[in-house]
Amino acid sequence: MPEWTSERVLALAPDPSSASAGQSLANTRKWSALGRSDRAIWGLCQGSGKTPYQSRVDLAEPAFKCSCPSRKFPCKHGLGLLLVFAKDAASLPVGDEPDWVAEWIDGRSERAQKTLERTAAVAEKPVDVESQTKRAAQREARVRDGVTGCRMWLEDLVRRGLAAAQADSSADWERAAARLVDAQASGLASYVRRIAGTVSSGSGWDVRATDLIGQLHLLLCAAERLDDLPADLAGDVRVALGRSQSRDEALGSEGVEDRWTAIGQVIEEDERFRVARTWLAGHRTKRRALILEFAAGGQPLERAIAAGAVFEGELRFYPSRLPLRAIVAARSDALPAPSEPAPPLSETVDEGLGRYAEALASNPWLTRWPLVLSQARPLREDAGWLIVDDDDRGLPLRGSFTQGLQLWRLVAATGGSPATIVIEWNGTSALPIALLGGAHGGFLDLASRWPA
Amino acid sequence: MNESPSARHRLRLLAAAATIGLDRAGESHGHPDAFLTQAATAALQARAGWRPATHAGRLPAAPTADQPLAPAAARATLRRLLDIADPDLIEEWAQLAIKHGVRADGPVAPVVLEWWAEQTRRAPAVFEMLGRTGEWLSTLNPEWRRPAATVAVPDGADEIWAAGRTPERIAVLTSVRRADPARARALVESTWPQDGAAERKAFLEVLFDHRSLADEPFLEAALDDRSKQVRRQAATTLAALPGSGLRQRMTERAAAIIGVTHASRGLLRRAQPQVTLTPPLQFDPAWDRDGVEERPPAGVGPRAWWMRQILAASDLALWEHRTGLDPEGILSALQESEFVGDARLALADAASRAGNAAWSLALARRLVADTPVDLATLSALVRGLTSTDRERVCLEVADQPQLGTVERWAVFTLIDDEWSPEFSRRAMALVPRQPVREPRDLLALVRAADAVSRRIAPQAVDAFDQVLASSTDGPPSDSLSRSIERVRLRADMHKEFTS
Repeated sequence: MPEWTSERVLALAPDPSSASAGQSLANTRKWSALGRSDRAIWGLCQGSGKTPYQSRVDLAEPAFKCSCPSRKFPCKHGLGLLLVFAKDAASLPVGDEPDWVAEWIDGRSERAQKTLERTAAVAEKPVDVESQTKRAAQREARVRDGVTGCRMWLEDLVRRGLAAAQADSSADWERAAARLVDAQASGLASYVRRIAGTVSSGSGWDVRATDLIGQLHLLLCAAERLDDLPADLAGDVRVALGRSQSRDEALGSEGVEDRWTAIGQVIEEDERFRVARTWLAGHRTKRRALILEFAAGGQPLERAIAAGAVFEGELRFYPSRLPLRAIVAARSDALPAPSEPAPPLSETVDEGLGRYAEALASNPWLTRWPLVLSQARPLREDAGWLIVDDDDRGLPLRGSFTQGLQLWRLVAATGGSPATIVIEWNGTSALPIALLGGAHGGFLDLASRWPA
Repeated sequence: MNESPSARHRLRLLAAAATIGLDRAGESHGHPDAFLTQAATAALQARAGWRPATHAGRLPAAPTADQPLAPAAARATLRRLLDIADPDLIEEWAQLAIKHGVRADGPVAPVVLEWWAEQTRRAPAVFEMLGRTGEWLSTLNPEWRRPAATVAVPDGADEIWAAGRTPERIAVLTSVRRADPARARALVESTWPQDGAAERKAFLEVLFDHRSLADEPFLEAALDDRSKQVRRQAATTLAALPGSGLRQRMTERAAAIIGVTHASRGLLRRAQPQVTLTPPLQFDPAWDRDGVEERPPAGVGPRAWWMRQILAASDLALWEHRTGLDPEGILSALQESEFVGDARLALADAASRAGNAAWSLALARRLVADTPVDLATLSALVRGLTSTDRERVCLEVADQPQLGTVERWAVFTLIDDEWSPEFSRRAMALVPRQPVREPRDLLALVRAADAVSRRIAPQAVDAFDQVLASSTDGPPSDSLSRSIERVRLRADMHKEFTS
């Protein structure tokens, strides 16, 4: 376990205001009954209420728990406590864990143990085949209705023309999407919503919308002949249509052990939920993996893996023709991140695009793919900003990225010189998400406001 | 697989047809199903077969040699300051960085520049703390360039002056005035006949700074300008210019007002001069040219009003010369005069303009003896002083026994730049350790504590904390706690730069 520094602690903050609030609590005067054991630290912090909050941190993960009502995770008390520890461990006297600390940590270890047992048990679990088959059949029937409805909607759309559809109200689009959600085809609904968002997105909107229409058509064609498709492809089509995958499916697959680097993390938010996409790259297997985490409404994301983290661990991939989405079945403590990016992870623009094309051949509905571009530099031309590699091959940067401060953080951190830049590629534009090495040195998370 | 340009091209053609709709685009695209299949194929081929173009260009290289980075803890604090976007604290961080010869790191620089570009007051230190990286970034993003007034004279200053819009001309004039005052005056003179009255006045305002007797002939001529606002601005500048003809004329007029009698009372008593004031009986039309307003504001008699304006624009040395007394003695000798109040206001005006410490201190003591204390005049008095004199005056004023807690705080807030450690310590020692209970007083305390928390020397943080803790009955309110936190944060910040 590397030593805790304030920088490392603040990297765990869910947002800048939490980081700021945590720092104002990073003072022993704010705390009473501080203590630590070899696995945890704890303390009491007086809030606005009568009873002080019980705050505790499991140092192994780290994991946080606090009796305060905050919905942020970790809350400012947890951050403050860990900051006190990072500044001067001696300010927390070594002692016996109070019950409210010991019970929580013991509970955590038990749960971790259970997960492992479940992992082992999934393979042998007896299944109620009959009822499962029945449920699946009902679902398939409903989805088939959704596919038929969506087909009619799509044909109507291209007959009327996109220009006419531009005049449709957002309620019209949303009604079409909602019908598909009801038919348990949320993947189709999401295409409808994305097309709706594209038709008024400015220059080049017609090509972008037609691109999406083409993808949707391909998905509908696949859905219409689901029974003729190979089993793994049919599975991918079901997922693209909106079937949610359960953890057990991944747990049932074979583990892939490697040293993994979290090459980037993107958090996206809409009115319904928040998604954290964490891209991993395996050092020995050279595999790419995607860890998805969802949180509904205002719920916090746990983000168990910090951007830039390196660990030894076992991933289990969800079954697919292109196994990409995975869960972490077992992992070591975070290892010190190397100051230089591991060479086997990185690629040129041509190599990266080649891998992307192969990935598309396996899963044509792939929406994004990570490229770890070595010796890449930002470049401005009249037509816009690009990422250019050592062979002078350039990928255009996404407009949303170049309009914000993120672009300038990338430019400032590279100093205009070559560095390893991690991007998400969607087939037409690049979204930089992290910087490895370069003038700045180390890992720079471009998806968050502050470097970790 | 087809070549990507054609897939992209086909997709564009299909998009054109999709936009107007197949019903209108005609039969060439066939049934929607066939059309959609073409779109799906083209879309997939375009994405899978996209080939990057070659781009040989490079961004201008960032400076390789730059100042060393500030310590990590200090850099972390800067991020926090940007999150709370507190201009005073960010500027203080910048000053500390410059003092220690270090800079903020590259990735934070765009956040700093973006914030800085939005500020109305763009402190040059904030730009400077980014080192050469900041300069480099501002060449890439023009929105972050320093405003003209903060840098050396821009190239093409004469052209901007001749053809620019008024705000640009003012910016250019400001930078030229700083670098070369005579050239700035020449610029103003070069277009003077064509410029409108509002512009002429604005340009004269710029010339107020870095004024010298070399400006006098031009300003003296402007006293006869056809616009009153221009005439008044010229008079204001000349009145603030020691040795100017206008000041001499005013001083002569003042000499006619001030009368001194050396009354001797008995053999053993020393001769004690008495000062009498005789305000003018009539308005002399010649005064108008020198900026004296004839019509008094409401509540002031016309004679007192003329006197005030004449005394305020004349040399303070006249008083000492006429009476042989020091400022304290003169103010005592004026005590019996019918016009003592008007004379004090005029003298305060003259003293603050001249930055005269002896007069300011003497006047401040008199002002404090009055209740309620005239904080506006006191503030004008201390503003003209050097920081050492200012602190001396404020301490002496705050030490007056009749002042309450809130009034003492108010006196301290008159010092609006960084407090010395000595002043901070002594100021905090002067605040009574007793609770403030009146809601109105509490509000004033909160405001004063906020202002003081930005200026007080961080070494005095504990005294500041204790004073505020004892000023309320319960635990300190949120706003008072914020002020205490701010000083603690500043204290940490100063330490972070030295560790």
